[in-house]
Amino acid sequence: MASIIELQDIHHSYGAVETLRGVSFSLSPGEVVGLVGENGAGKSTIVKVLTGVVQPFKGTIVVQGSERVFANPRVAREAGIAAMYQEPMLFPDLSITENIFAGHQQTRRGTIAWRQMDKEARVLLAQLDLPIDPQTPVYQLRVAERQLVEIAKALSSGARLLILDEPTAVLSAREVDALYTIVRGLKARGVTILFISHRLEEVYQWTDRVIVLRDGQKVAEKPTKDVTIPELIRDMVGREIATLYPKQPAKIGDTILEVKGLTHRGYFEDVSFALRQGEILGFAGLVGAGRTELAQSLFGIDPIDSGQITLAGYPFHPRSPRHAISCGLAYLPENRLVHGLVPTMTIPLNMTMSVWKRLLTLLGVLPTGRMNRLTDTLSRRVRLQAGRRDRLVSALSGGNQQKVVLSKWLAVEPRVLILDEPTHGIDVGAKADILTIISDLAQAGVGILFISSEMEEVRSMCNRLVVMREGHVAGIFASPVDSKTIMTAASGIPSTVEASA
Amino acid sequence: MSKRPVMPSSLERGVSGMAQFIRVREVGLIAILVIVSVMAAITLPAFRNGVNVRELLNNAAVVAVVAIGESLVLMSRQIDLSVGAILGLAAFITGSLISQVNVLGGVGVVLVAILLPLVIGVVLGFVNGLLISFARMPAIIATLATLSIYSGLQVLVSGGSQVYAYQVPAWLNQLYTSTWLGVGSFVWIGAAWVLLFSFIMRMLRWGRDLYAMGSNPEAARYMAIPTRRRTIEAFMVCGALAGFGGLLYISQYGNVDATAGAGFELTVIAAAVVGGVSLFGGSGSPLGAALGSVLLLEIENVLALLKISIFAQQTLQGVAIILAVALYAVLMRRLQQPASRARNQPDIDTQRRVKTEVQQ
Repeated sequence: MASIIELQDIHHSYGAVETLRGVSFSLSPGEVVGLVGENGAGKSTIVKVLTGVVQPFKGTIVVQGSERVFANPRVAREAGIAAMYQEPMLFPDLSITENIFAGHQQTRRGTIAWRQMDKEARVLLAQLDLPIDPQTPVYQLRVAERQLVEIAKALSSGARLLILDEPTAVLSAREVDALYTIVRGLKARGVTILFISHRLEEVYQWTDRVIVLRDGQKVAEKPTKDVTIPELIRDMVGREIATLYPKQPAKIGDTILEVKGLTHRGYFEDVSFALRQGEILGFAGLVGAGRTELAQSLFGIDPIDSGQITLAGYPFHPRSPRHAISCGLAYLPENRLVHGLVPTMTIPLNMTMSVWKRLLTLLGVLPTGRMNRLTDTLSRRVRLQAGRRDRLVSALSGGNQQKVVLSKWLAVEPRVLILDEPTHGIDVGAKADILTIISDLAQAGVGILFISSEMEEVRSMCNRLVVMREGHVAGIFASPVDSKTIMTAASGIPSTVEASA
Repeated sequence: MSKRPVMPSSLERGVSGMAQFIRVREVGLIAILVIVSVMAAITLPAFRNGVNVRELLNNAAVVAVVAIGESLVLMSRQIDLSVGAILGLAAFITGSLISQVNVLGGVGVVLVAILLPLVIGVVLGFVNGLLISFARMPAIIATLATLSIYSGLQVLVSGGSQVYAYQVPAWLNQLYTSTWLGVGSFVWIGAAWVLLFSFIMRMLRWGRDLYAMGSNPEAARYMAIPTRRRTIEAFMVCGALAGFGGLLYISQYGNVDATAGAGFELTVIAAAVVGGVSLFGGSGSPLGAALGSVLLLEIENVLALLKISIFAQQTLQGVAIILAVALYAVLMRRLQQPASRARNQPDIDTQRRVKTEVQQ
């Protein structure tokens, strides 16, 4: 069958990081193709290339036989490509009708033909089994309904390729079923679907063909019926790295943090675990499994609906980050530039921010000398390579920035350190430094909660591993644990599949 | 495509006539206007007085015309602080030129009097738009600067002099007090602008682009809406309406001095916000802005009639604005509840499915 779109040898990079290294594939009409890979494998870059959000520096895109350059999203849209993201890109204040026809409103003698558009919107919504008045403003809709509005929009503009980027992560099981029915309907009409999901079970059920990406390259492409889920996992995880992970054995002490039945409705439910001194407790799971939300509740950022926390033997109710810090907790957030640092301030100001109060003189002045001395001590400890001391944090590399955030928390000498994706987007050298510090901290008796989506990292660094799925604890495993077990627990594939492999 | 049965329209949410009616945001505002008016009319005989009502509505019309322009800018997620200065400058230039150039004949003078302030406003608004769209300045800073520039120009141009009522043509002076079909001409003029812009904002792509830009600027760019151009155009239209407000100002006060229009921007923005125009863009309407102007001036009027000291008035006016906005929010929530579904009710799926099974 003639392909509707073909990618040939696509290369793309962000700065020095190569995100795509020569990816080629083609898609045929009425085909449902799965695109899978670990975080950072290049899936989202593929989506951005296909929708014209970013341009590859090498490689060509062929649409129905002729070469095209997707210079901007409009060109891609006019070539019949539409994408639906987890959180659809809509106009919340405007009606469903207007969102569906945004960019290609129907007009009659120059004025907008609301009635006709409403009528057609109603037909489209009925096709998608969404019986809502099309004049309803989009902000009143649930996420699943917004996704359907996005699909209706794609249909109304005559899209031939619909990219579904992790659509199911935010949906309930019932909503996923409904979406699947719609996908089958679209397929029957000849629309091509590129389906991206971490949930391999869904990929297995929905797709005709599956493409596996790893480190910006296509490592496998097979008809879905010819692969098994364990095979897919092996292709995704790939290489056997001996160890880049400098974990040293640490003396495990008493329980420092115990969590029982902790619930923040809609985010995580009934989470229980215990953390001991000197232990690194890993948290694995898919994006959206509730790990970050759990960390934020423990640190007093988000509320807790029910459940108990015991910290060093005493009941602990985190009221605010300030309160949590004073009780010996520290939290290294996922997004360091937004939540971890003040990029426009210098290294010493950032590093000592957590202890400013302690450094203040009687007159309330922040003494530069003391601040700088503390900075130097901490910098040596984390092996900061920043050149001058008084540089702005925004000028540092990602690895050095993360070291500054880590120093900030070392300064308060926490009893429990929560790390949320501490090595995300950091080069290999700095990564090893950071992991070494984490290992050192554990040896010094700090209890560490280690959230990471990097499989090898959590496997190698942690004493035990909590796997979360859809807000619940799917299992707690003692190290060593193989990545298949983690993947299986995280994506919810029943262990029978595993056994049959 | 799908083999599943298409749902009957009876299942559609919130499409009854009542819901349609209530969905119009302005209904809550009208309700508050009626409540306040009735209460004022009962307790204050002076409020009922014909002259008072006419003056109140005329003054509200001046605010409304400028507030309509401001609302366009606000709805596209920008702000224009220079409208008071544009109004003043346009009023002064127009007033002084009309009194000097009297050779064009009757119709000519009328034409100049109408076109000149519009042109002045368009030019000044264009400058605002350029600063924001191309120099990439935040609107609040850019228009704060031009507010200062334009009102400085007004002082320079005036050179300490004034435009006096006797220099203004008689027709313009009388416009303020004239009526047609028993309704003040200012009200007709204001209503005309409301109609025109309600049409533009509802029925033309240009208007919808502004809403889209205000609701989700990033998505608007992805939709290939020419956002820079639309921003400039919105500021030009806003400037034109502020300029036209200057013409009404001449007629309203008779004389124009170097400080005419000072502080007017705050009244206008308050009116737009009271009228349900969101400062965060994406929602509101020209009618809402106009109704907000009436409500704002009505509150001012009532406080003045209560013979409260001018100093306390300002404070009370602020309190009244907060109360009005709060009441409006509460009222809208109450009114909309039956129309929109209860949001915490997750079983719409179930309902749908049950219905499907019943059909089969």
